[in-house]
Amino acid sequence: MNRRELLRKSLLAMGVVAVNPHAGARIFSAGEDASLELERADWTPVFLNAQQSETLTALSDAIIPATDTPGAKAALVNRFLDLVIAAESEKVQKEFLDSLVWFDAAATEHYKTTFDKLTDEEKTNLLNLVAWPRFQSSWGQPEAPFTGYQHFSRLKAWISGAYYSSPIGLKEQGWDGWAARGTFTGCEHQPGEHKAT
Amino acid sequence: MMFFEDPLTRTYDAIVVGSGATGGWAAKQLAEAGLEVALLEAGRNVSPREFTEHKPVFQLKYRDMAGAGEWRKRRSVQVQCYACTEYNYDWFVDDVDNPYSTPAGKPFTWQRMRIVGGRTLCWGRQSYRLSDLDFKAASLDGYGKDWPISYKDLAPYYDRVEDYVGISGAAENDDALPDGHFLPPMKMTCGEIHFREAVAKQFGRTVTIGRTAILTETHNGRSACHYCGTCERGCISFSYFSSPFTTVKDALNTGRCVLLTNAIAAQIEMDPATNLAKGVTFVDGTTRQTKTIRGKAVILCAQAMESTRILLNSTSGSHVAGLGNSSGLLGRGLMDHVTGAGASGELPQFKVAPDAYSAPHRANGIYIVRYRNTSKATRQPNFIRGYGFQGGADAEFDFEAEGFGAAYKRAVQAGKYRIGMGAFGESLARDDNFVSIDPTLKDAWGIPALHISMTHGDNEKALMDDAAATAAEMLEAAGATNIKIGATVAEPGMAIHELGTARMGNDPKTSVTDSYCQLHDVRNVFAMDGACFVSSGCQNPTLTMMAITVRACDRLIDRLKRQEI
Repeated sequence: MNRRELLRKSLLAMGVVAVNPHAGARIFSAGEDASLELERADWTPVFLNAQQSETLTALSDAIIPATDTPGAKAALVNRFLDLVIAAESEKVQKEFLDSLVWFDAAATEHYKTTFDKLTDEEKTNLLNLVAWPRFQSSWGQPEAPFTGYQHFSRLKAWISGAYYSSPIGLKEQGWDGWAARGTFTGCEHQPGEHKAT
Repeated sequence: MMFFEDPLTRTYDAIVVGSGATGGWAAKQLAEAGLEVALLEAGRNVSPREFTEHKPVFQLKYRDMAGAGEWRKRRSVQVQCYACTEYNYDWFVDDVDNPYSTPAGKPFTWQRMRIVGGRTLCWGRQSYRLSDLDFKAASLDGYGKDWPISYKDLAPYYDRVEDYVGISGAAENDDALPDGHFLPPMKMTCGEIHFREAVAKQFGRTVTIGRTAILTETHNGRSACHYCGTCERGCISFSYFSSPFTTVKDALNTGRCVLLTNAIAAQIEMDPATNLAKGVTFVDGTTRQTKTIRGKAVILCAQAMESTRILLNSTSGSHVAGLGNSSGLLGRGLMDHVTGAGASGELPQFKVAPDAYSAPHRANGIYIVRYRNTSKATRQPNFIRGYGFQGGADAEFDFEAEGFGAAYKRAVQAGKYRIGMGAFGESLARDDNFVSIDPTLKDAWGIPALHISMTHGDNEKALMDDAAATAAEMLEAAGATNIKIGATVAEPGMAIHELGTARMGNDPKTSVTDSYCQLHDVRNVFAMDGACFVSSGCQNPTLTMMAITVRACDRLIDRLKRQEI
């Protein structure tokens, strides 16, 4: 390549940049981590009121408790859901709040207090009433899911999603701090051996 | 004082519109042949610094959950694409700026990216050849038109594309899905091998590992896949094929190709004296100025419907209904593979412990080769053509386990061994499925927008019904339990395989381009993307689009050298 060609090539490249600036790219800064915001000592809810936040915290920790690994409370599930629901549609917000209110109402009906103030045994007893698929039907009407099960399923889906997408939840799935990597080996069994039974 | 040459002061040998799968190939091939090329891209440039395939989800503000995030409000169509997420949404078009209309009751989901590389940044990478079952389908069953080319015409170009791109896969010697030049195949899981054997034994059908544009070994200077499993967010090792880091890069490296980004092509400028195109008018997306670039040939690779939109908007002189529309067929014959049917189940006889999050993940699955209407023995009374399946089997965390408490956590960890498959069926070319110019709607740059009118018909519905039934019978044969069937017909556009609207053919009265993608009406304008498809087959179309482009460019180079254009 002669000097003229070299100059032309480099100037053309400059020209492309000058005519068409590389604008608008969404580039995450190195180390940018939105989950750190949830850990702030001065965190306060932006969507839920104090009682709703307490109920959500208690419910999430009852559904995904600390075992030999941390549970939903340590994973700050309530804080993340407060952020997410605040950005959701009014319909989703209403459904979410209706379900939280339903749990406090059920706790009050059975134990004369809100869900967050129940003992562990009382929480378990209440959840056992609603945590399994149940349907109600009346003569000539189609079968419909039990209301308590609907509220439980809705909040459990949110709580599970928030927990298993948190740093703690990813570790629960075998996240070692790095992206997935290696070589996919697939089935390494001899013919017939891969059957467990 | 200008230190660089203004790209708009020159006349290029060729102007290529669009920098995706086909535009990248056209630019590469023409520039490497010694031609001066201008490559117009409607979106901005892309940098590997934007890749997020290794970024854990909790680092995103909303962890890509549900409807959260302001960005979704301007991308109500794009969010229907599985690949459009909180990680990469700005690679996709802003639906408010880029509107289109549809008739009442005929929704169409147009999933688009405007960025250098287009949808090759996020594509599914599945790469299959068509066969003469597809190219000559009309002769076999009497519907529609044959392509003006046959498999043997395109086979050498499939070879060239595969050799460059790098397609991993396994040869199967099945006439419905010709074998190609493959890199070593990715491995199957235990459940997939079991399923393959059961289906072969009971039905004689072919189950193969997905043929995918992901490298399983170092190839043409790119590294083998490291199995992080999230290709749609970019790839720092460039292990899957995307045009900015392969074909477009090669084109720019020649020093004979200029890339103009944020250049939104509006129409082709004609010289009425010669009936030849003389350039392309575009809107500078940054300044909103209208500009014209001059060229001796114009090659449209903007995506099937976008290329046709440019042609329809190019009205002048004798081309009152758009450029290349003397047949009245420009815009007609829109296709998109029919989807929505499939089946899933569990294979409890296999290990259920899911692979760890950080363990290798294969961004590929299995493919079940078309088995309907492939011979007299498999001819169906209720429908013509056929479908293939994409699927997979592996252990997964069971987030949907019932219950709560420690037992729920254990159930999630224990996982389930699931198997599932979804069908892609042929979409028949019908002239009442079409795009036209909406008389009142314009995009944010003042360019008239498309009106898209498409429905899937009775044949597509019958294909999906049959696909659901046969998916279930194959799962049963493999001993799957808890089998669930889906037999819906998804709305057009959801396959993201838009094809047709400027079909190729030998007769100018019944086609828009010749077999080399050259408009019958204007001999220096070409539609070298999915627009030229005559029928859709049921195979993922990108490999075929690229092969058609390479073939057409070979011809164009030859004719330019002989000064026939």
